[in-house]
Amino acid sequence: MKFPQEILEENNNSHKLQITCFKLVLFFGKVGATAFGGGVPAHLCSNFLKNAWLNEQECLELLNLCQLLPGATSVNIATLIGWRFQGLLGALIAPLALLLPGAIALLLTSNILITLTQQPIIQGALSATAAATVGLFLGVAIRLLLAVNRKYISFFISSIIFILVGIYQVPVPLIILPTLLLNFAWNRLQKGKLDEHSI
Amino acid sequence: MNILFDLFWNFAYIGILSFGNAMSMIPEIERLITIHGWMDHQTYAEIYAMGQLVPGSNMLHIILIGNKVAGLPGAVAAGLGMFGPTSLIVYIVARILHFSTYPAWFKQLYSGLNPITIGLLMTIAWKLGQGTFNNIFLVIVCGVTVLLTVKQVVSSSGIVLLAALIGALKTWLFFH
Repeated sequence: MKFPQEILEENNNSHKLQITCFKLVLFFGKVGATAFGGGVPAHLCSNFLKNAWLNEQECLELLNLCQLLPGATSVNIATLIGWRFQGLLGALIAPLALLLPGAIALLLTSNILITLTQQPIIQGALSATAAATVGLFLGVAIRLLLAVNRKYISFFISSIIFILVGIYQVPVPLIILPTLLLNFAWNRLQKGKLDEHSI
Repeated sequence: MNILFDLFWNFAYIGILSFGNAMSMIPEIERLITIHGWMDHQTYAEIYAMGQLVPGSNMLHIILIGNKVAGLPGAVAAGLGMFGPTSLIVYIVARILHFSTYPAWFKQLYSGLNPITIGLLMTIAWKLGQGTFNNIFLVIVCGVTVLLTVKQVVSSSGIVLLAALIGALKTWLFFH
């Protein structure tokens, strides 16, 4: 008799072994060719979850690192996942596979696109795409929030961070250190009920 | 050759400074291209809009700046500058994290990042949403997407393509 968690871990491990360079290129190439309207990190995480490459906790750890390091989050994610499954070669091909479809499309069709951006139908499609992308980010945020320990406190803290960064436009690096120190102090106060976090 | 290095360094500077959300660097990109005389604001706005029409990262449009300044090599130089150095940083950090063992206090400190990450996801949604929701139809599209994403019934790209189709259809019906 196995607990669900163990089965999940076994599945994840067997997947880890099977992800070849070819699969990496296919996965990131597909997302790179279909993720319209930006929001690529949300597309990537949603696909990681759907294909069981990563679970919610791993997605969160991935985003922790990739959002806080400089650069485009989606490319950071591709580099990290490529490295995790296929080492240096994976770290090179995964971001390339993610970026090339869009880059080639841009360079080949820039003459057509410039007339397209003025079409009302395209603008209608674009605003609907933007609205859906907002929903995609919110959906991924909700999924990750549901997987976190201490949901209510986490929601409270992330709401404060949202208000500071989103509405008052406080630079992100200024937010990180105080939040980490507060969390650290909070954990120290509650030493008995520390939750285990792996990296 | 000089112009290629110029493109590379300037976009490497943009890439390395873009914390949290690369979109926040757009004013800085505008400043750079005006200083260097690469293009005017109007052309940049057009290029940015074109970038929204193709799939992939929102920052992909910068390769069109390189393309305009120095052709295909310029596009490659701008792209490598924007995404190369930051990928290298991720790679190095990943290796360091992988081969170290962490003291307990570091793990405790690190666990505090979870709410920051979720807060930043909400911030991106907010930034993308500004100026977007000018009618109830778009609010509905957004709400349905949230539901479908949480329930994972349709793939993420399927949702967005469907939304684009419905948006185009609605505009078409409205105009005829």
